[in-house]
Amino acid sequence: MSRTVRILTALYGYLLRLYPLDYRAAFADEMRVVFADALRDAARTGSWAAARLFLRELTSLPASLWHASRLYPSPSIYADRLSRARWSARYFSIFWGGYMLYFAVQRTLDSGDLTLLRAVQMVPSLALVLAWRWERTGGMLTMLGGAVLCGLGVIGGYNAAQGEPLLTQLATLSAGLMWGAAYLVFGGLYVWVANKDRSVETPRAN
Amino acid sequence: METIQEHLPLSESTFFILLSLAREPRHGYAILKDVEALSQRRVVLSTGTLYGALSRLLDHGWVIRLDTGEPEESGRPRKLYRLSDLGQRILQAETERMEHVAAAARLRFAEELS
Repeated sequence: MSRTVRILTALYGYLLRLYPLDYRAAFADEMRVVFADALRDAARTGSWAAARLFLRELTSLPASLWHASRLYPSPSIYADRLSRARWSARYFSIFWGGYMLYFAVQRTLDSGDLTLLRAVQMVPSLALVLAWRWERTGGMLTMLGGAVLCGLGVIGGYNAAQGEPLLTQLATLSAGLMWGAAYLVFGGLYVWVANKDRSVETPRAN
Repeated sequence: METIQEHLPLSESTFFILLSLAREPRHGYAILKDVEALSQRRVVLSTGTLYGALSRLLDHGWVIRLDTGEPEESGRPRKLYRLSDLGQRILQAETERMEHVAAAARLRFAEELS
């Protein structure tokens, strides 16, 4: 088994943990085997084919999770405010981070050119996905990347809208700002969850 | 009481999954590949989508899950999926519905040409 296949199968195993417990008990083993078979076949045509297969799993994940949670509801993850915030951030991070990462990689593969902007965009997108596991570090990195993207968006918007009417300038600047805003908000939500979690656990430890 | 017609039309991926199981029981990966082949690569399912659909079909009773006795990597028996009688009737009804739709379209085209 090649290294790419091993790494992607291990990552897929982590993604399976997002499914409701009962659903995992019923299907996770089979899903892992089917994914590994599909990955082995795809890897015969190259590592990129394997990466594309993995990205397809990522992009279909939100819908699959939604369907699975409807069939096998696990109310415990929405039991309190902290859990709700954590799971909102997690679902969003897989959807938005996964999609933006896929989008940036796809564009880079299609054009064969990794621009600075795409490279910058990949950082918070990847951090957003990793924040699932490392909430504080991932959240901080996502916020930092989001702030850089906001800055680049505003500068780009300012340059593009010079000489335009004031309203057009404001709209272009806002659009540039919004580009990184989602990363700031959800990175911040992860950091908030990590801090809250720590403050809940500290009195317990004492 | 629910009638078969209430479940129609089926989504394309559901139709192809049922069609894939029409001839013989299959395991997950065989369904994935067969759906791709039957749809001429128009429907390419991810593992998540396939098992989401299978869990729904099992829930509706259109598909039955069987143990093969042949172990997977995990050591558990490999699962096969088979079309139930209800699933067979749903697939038949959907095929007939699509034939009616296609026949109506062909008739209209023929009228326009004549």
